[in-house]
Amino acid sequence: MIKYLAIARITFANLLQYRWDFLISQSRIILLLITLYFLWTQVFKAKATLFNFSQAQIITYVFLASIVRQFVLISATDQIAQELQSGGKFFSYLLRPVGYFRFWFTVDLVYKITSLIFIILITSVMLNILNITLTWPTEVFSTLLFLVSIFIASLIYFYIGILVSTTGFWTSQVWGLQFLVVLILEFCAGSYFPIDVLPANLQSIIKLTPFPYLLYYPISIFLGKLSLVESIKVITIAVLWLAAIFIITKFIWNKGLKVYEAWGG
Amino acid sequence: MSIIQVKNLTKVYSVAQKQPGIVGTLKSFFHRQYKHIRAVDDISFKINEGELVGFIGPNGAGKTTTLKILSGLLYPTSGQVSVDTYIPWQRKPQFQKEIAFVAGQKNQLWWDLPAYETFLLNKEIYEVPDHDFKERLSYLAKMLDIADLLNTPVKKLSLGQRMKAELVAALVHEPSILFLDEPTIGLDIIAQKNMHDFIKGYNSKFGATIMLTSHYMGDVEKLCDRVIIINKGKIVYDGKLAQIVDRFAKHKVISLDFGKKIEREKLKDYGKVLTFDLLNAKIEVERNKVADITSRLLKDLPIVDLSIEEPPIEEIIRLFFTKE
Repeated sequence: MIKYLAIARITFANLLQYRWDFLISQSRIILLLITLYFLWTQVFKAKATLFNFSQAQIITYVFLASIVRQFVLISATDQIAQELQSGGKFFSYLLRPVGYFRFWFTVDLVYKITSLIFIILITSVMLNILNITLTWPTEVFSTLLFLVSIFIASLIYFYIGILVSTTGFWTSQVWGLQFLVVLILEFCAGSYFPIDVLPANLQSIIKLTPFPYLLYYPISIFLGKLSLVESIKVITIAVLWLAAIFIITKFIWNKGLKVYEAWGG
Repeated sequence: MSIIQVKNLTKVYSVAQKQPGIVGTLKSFFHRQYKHIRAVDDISFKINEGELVGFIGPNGAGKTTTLKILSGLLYPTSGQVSVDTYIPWQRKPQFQKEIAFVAGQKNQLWWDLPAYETFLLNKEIYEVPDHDFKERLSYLAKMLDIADLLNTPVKKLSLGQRMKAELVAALVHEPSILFLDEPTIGLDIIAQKNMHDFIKGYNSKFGATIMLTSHYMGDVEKLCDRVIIINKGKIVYDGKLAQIVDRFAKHKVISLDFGKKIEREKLKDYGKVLTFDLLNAKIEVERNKVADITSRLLKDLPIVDLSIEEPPIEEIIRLFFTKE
């Protein structure tokens, strides 16, 4: 345990070295929030409910999605690909008695918590300025299951991140793939709008992927859109996705380790 | 008792081949050809506890590959390896706490933070008690003379300073087996000597078993009684260093710079002329006559600079093949 506290400590110290870079990259969320807020308020001028969402619900969705996104979809695992390519640093983990995945999950947690605190500060200021009140869950189970689903979602995203980075075992051109995955993933996860907005057949395709379990379903649970039974069903499927992605990642990771050849004899 | 045992170790790399040009790129995309390189080819050796062994050979001979297998970084293609009774590539924590692998280009230090942060991290990762950590760190920092650099961000350190800090980070857990890959690469003369003293001291103070690679004879001469010479993945010599230098490097090379042009003929009396271009020359001289010939050269010829060099390690290895 102390091991992982030490990892968290050095990660945070390192993050502080990059504080401006970190803050600036996080700030783009402000612009996105403002855009989405005004877009939806305009849309709701014509109708009271749209896609089964009231205006208050959709605004809550947008703000909550931003907050959850800054926790679930924040990860340091993209750095793994670079480390695999540069060789030296990656080797140093294999030499030390520390679990590689556990190491990175600790790093991820530090990134997640830091950006969560930051986004909560930003959104509270914005909510005050724009004079918005969010709708809170009426049922206790919604809040609890929401937290559970967020935790599972974080793990799913963690292993997806590692899976994408494992391509670094075979090629140095990982950046393009990472970018593409993030793009598709954010769209399908419902980062910008609930996927109910999309055409029905596209929705049903997206719901076959693990992506909506990252943001869309957790927030739906929070908004009370799903009953207790539905919520538990969704969480069960999320756990199955997590298991599947974990097994695939572990398998490909081990394959990568076997073929990983560093240059120099 | 042998702490390291290697038997019939072989490592084959598969390297993708590509012909030049667009056509070549397309070809290799659809049908990639692999070339198999035997980096390590059926080698066997044993190393006893507390030995300091030099592992030498030209670039690409298989030195680093062997060390990487011994420290658990690479899987061998075939063969058996036991290091302190462990199989390295299983990477058991108990094994990892016994060894260290240090290489010039392997940077485990956190670039933007002071080296001390990495030492602290390693302290916890290796579960080193506070008291031991303080004691070791003050010993290492004193021996390597980096006590006042501990709080400087790593990116602001010079290559030599960084190398030393890397070494401290790798030794925080006081390993009993050290694999050092080119420990003096890129270091200036003074730093090289410090490194030699340190390695020697670590070996005698802790009775640590040390294997170091180098393509620089100086390292090996200063430090190792025993050398293993490897070339093209095969061990060509395993034994005392003193014997190999006597047996196979019978010559030294004298480099000369002249103040004015001289004739090649004049040099023939002193030794075999290796290179000559009017103002400088290299001649090969028998080891036991070096002093005598040097003084004659200085007396007879208009010399502005003179240096005596060992034949390069490649030369000794070449001699091996011609003799045996």
